[in-house]
Amino acid sequence: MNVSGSTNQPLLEVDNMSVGFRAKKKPTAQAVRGVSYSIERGETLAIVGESGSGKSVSAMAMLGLLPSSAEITGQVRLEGVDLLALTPKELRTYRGRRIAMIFQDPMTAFHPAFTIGNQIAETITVHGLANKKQALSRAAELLELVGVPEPGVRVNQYPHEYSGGMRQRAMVAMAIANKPDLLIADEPTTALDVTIQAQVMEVLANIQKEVNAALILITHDLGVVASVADRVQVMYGGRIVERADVRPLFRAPRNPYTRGLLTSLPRVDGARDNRLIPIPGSPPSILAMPPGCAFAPRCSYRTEVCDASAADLQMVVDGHESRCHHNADLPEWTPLQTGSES
Amino acid sequence: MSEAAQVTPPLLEVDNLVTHFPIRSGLLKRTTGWVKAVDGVSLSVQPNETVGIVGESGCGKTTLGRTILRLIEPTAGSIKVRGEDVVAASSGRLRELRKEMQMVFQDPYASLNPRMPVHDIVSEPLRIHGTSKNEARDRAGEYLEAVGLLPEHGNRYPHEFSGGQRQRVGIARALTLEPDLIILDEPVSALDVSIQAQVINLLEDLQQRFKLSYLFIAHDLSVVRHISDRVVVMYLGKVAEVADRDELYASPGHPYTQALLSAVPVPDPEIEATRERIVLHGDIPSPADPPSGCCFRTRCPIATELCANETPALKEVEPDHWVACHFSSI
Repeated sequence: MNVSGSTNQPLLEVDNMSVGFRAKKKPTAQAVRGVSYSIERGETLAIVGESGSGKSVSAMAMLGLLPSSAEITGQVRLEGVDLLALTPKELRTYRGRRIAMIFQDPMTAFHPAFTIGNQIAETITVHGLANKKQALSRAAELLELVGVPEPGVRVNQYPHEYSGGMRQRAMVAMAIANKPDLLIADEPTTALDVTIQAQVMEVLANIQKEVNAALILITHDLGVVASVADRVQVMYGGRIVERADVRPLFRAPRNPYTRGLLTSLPRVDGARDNRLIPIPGSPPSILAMPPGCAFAPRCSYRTEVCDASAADLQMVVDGHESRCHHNADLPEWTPLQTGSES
Repeated sequence: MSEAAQVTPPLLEVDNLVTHFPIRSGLLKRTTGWVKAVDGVSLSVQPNETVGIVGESGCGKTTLGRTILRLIEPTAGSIKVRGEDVVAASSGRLRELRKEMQMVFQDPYASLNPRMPVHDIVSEPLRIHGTSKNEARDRAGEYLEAVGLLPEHGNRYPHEFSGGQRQRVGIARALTLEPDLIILDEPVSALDVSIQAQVINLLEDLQQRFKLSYLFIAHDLSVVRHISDRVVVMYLGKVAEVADRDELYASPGHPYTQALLSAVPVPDPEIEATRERIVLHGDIPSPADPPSGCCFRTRCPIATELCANETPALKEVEPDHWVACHFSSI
């Protein structure tokens, strides 16, 4: 699969994708509403949002992993090929080969009755890239690469014989088995303890560099985002509400929702000792989205126009986009006084 | 602590508490080993104080919280509330003592009875302790208001509430008996960031209003730093370090505390770009088979032979700062 003549094309382009779920006697639940973005090889794009923001659904949709009740519109182009237009059979040649996914829960993502080695080898043999024996020895190499101790023994063990952190590393090994162009990691460290989380993020970041893959990191943890992402897009109510490079986003967030997230967060480095400033209320139900801006009912800058219509995602300053009617008149963001040490 | 302790005795005093669970196997279910979930923990909570307990999964923090309420029977050690022995209390006396110690659980979905309206959930502790049904209902309404819900919410069932609201119901239930101490086991870890901050602020307000002490059990070091006066770090059933909040976060003495603090990513890319991270190797050992000597030595970057042979005692390295390490950096 050599890339030729596609010099200016991004690796992945998501174009106006929407995902709705049909249900009997209920309105269609709009989980994702018109999301567009692109990602380059070697880049890490973090998608941030709380439960129900549509961040996971948008990733599952492009891999064809949603149930048949999902209605997906728009385009997802991987080097020009629209993944949403492929037949399930065609899509299978992409999944695990050119796009791989790392799931949140390492306890349920492996089949309990097959060895870890067999499951990693299967992702290689299913694409006809090696025979079983070669694939198994490749599996052991991959386990070593992600830092699983005694890979020669571990390759023949079952998932229950692995600890949580080790299983998550095995999942990373499985995801990179075919050197994919795009890795999608959905809350890859949420289920892990902090010391293990640090290990797994380190492995993931190193490996992404090594195979020069693009990484879409879906998470709610702004600390993880700050430590690994190049670009960030924040989702709320199924839409992207803010997008920027990681530093400008944290230095001067432009959307009231992103600002609310940051003022809600306690800080381990003591940069904030005063009272937290939460966002009032709770996120909207996807069955009953507010007609205008989805964040308006919780927003302190809300005016009439916010209830009437949703704003567009607009470029505020160079490379920094925000979806807010009050882009121009929002007060300056006062950064936290950050601790000088620690 | 020593002189102040003479004047006001601690509200809660736990001394050398041990909770071991038997491992039974084979046809006859013989005990073949012990899971040392809590293995000699001492701590105290002063009136109106918040003590945070942090540690990773399997460190025994949840078992510790439950053992203090005697929801799990301790294997050895003592638990005193205002000087009164909880371990030796009869079941009748224990019920009285539990009025002073209540608990809020982690999972707001599993800790509320789905078949009970919220009024009944919140007033049940009062009815158990002999308050009439009508009075209990009125009081429940008051506490629902105190946690930021409306009294008419009482007629609804738990499934009609969001996660954050359910956790408020759990807090209201813990408040109705007017306890002095509330043990909070991961009270905000199931909640989204924006909702988490609401509940943390609520807990701070309630503490002031009702003069509460909290034992706040969590794995999130940022949340613990925010809410605690004093912090206890646990590893494999033992206390690794205890200190005042600012002291512990500014100058941790135990290599485990240092690694934990350095592992937490900070939501600031400019700090993250330059921060040195201590990445621990290996996994947390099983509490059924802890390493000899210092239980952290298998992952410790500075462990020596001494650590394998001798268990380090919890020593006071600075006033009110205790570290269990042979090579404490303080």
